[in-house]
Amino acid sequence: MKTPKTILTISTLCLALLLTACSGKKNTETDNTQNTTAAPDMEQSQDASGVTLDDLYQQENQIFADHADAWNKAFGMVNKSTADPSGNYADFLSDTVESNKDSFTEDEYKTLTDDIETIRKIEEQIAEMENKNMSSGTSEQTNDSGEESPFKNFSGTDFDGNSVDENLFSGNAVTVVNFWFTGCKPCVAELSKLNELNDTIREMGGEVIGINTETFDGNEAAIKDAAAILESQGAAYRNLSIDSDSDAGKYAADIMAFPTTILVDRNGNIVGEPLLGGIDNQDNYDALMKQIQSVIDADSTNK
Amino acid sequence: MDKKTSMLSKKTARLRGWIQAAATLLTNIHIPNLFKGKIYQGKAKTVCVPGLNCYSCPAATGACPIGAFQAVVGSSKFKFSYYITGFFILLGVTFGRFICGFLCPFGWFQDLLHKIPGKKFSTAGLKPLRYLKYVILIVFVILLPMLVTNSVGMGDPFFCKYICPQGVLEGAIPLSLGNAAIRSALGKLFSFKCLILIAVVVLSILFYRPFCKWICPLGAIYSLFNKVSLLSIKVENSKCVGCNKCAKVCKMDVDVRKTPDHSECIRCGACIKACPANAIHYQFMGKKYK
Amino acid sequence: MKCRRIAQFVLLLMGVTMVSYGAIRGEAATVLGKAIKLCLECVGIG
Repeated sequence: MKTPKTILTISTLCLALLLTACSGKKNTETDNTQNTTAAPDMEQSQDASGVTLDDLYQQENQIFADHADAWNKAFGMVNKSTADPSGNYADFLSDTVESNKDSFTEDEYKTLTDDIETIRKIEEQIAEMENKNMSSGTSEQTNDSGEESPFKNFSGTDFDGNSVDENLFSGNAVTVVNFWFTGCKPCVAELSKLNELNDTIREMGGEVIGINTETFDGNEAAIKDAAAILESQGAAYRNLSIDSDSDAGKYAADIMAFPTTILVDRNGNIVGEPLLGGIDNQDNYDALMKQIQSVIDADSTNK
Repeated sequence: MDKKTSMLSKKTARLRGWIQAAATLLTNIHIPNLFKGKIYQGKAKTVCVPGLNCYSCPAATGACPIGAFQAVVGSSKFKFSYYITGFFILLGVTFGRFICGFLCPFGWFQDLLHKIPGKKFSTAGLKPLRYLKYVILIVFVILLPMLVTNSVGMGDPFFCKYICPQGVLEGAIPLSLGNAAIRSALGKLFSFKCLILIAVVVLSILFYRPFCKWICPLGAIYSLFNKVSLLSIKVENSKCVGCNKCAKVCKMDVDVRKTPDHSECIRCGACIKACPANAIHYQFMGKKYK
Repeated sequence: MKCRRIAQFVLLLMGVTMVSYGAIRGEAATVLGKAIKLCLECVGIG
C-alpha cells in the first residue's frame, strides 16, 4: 500500500526537520558556551604555557636546592664575563664546571654533570615554549593584520557633529558596537535595553556605540530619522555616522542580518562572533554580558 | 489555419511546468549567493516580483509584494502603500491569477509536491475554507501592521513573521545553511514556522495547492481581478459538446463553462488540455489565443 | 463586455498613478531599504 509509505516518509521528514530545529537551539547554546570559553581559553593557553614555564624554572631551582652545597661551590666559581645569554644555560654551567673540575670531588662532579644534563633538557623545553609563545604571539598579530580589523583606521561623526576616530576604542576596555537600521523593528525595540547596557558597562570601562547603516556619509535625512527614534526610545549613548568607503563602512555594509552586535577591544580588534538578534531577549543579553566580561577581564590582565 | 492556431493555448498549457521553472529561476537569479549565505543587495530589489518570493532568499531578484506591502505599512513614515497597491492593481488587471498558475515559485513548489504519488483528496467539499485567505489578507497583511505599532509607529510584518512558509523555505533555511551567525540566531519563531512549512508540504501532497486556495494573501488579491483581467479564459459554446471533462479535470473546483473567470481559477489550462473539442482557450486583451 | 473594458482601463490608470505616487513619496526607497537588510524577526528567524 502506497499510503502508509508516504505517511511514513512524511513523518520521518517532519521528525528530521523538528530535530534540526531543536538541535539548532542546542547548537546555539554550545556555540555560545564555546564562544565564551574560547576567549578565556586563549588566555589560559597563554597562562598555561606561563604556568608550565614557571614549572620548568621551579624544576631547575629544585635541582640547585637539592644539591645546594655542590652548586653553591660551582656558582662561586662562575666567571660572569664568559656568560653567553643566548646560549643554552646548561652549556654555560658545564663550561664553569669543566673549567673548575679540579675543585670538585668526584661525587660532586658527577652530581653536577648529571644535574647539568637534566637542566639542559629543561632548557630545551623552555626554549621550545618560548618559541611557541613568540610564534603564537606573532601569528596573532599576523592574523589581525591579515584580517585587517575594519576598525583600524576608524573615523566617523556622532550625531552632534563631533568627529571620532580609533581613539574611541583605546579609551574603553571594551566597546559594544550595535548595528541597526531605521526600518528594523526588533532593532528599535532593543535600543532602550542597549542604553541600560551602556550605563552598566560604563562603570566597568566599556561603552556602547550605535551605527545606523542608513546614516552613512552624513546622510542628514537618515540621521534625523535615526536621532528621532533614539530619542523616543531613550537611547542616550553615542551613535555614529561613518563613511561608506572606509573599512568599517564596508564591514557594516556587508552586514545583512539585523540587529547585529559586536565587541571591539581596546586595540580595535573584533572579539568573538557577532551576536545576532535583539538583546531585549534575556538569553542574548546574558550571552553578551558574558562576552563583555571576558573582554574586560582579558583587558585588565593584559594591563 | 484553424488547427494550427488552435494549438497555441494547448501548447501554453502543456509548457506550464517549464514556464514555472523559468519564472522561479528569473525570480531567484542570484544563485551563487545561496552558497555564500548572503542576500542580494542591489537596486533591483526596489521592484517587486509577481509571485510569492521572500526577499530574504539569497538568490531573490526583487522584493516580495506582500512583504513589501507590510514593510511600507509597518514603517513609521507611512500608513498605507500606494506603490505596492498600485503594483497589485497593475499585475492583477493584466494577468489576474495567471500569475498563480504560471509565475509563482511557491505555486510551482506545491505542484511538484502534488506529483508525489499517493492518495489524493478532493477539496470540493472544503469550499468555505477559501474565505480564510481573505481574512489572512485583511488581518495579517493590512490591519495588524497598520494598527499594532510601537511608540514610533512601527509595525511588525505579521504575515511574514508568523505565517509565511515561503520565507522559511527560501530564506531561513538557505541562509542558516550558509551563514553560521544566522544559524546561531534560530529560535522558537523559526521552529514554529518550520511546523507551518511542514504542514503545508504535507497538505500539498494530499490536496492540490492548499496554500493557494486557503492561505495565500497574494492569491487573495489577484483573485479579485480575475473578472476584469486582460488575460482571461473563453469557452466557445458553439464548439462545446457538453462532455463535462473540463469541470472534472479542474483541481481548483471551478466549472469553466459556467464561470470562466472565477476567482479561484489559476489559469492552469488543465481544462484547455482536456477539452476534446478544443473549445476552451486563453484570451489576452480580447485577442483569442486559440 | 463594455463594462469590463472600462474597468480595465480605469484600473490600469489607477495602477500607474498609484505606483508613481508611491515612488515619489519615498515608498520605493523604504521597500529597497527593507529588502536588502534582513530584519531577522521579520523573516521568522529568531
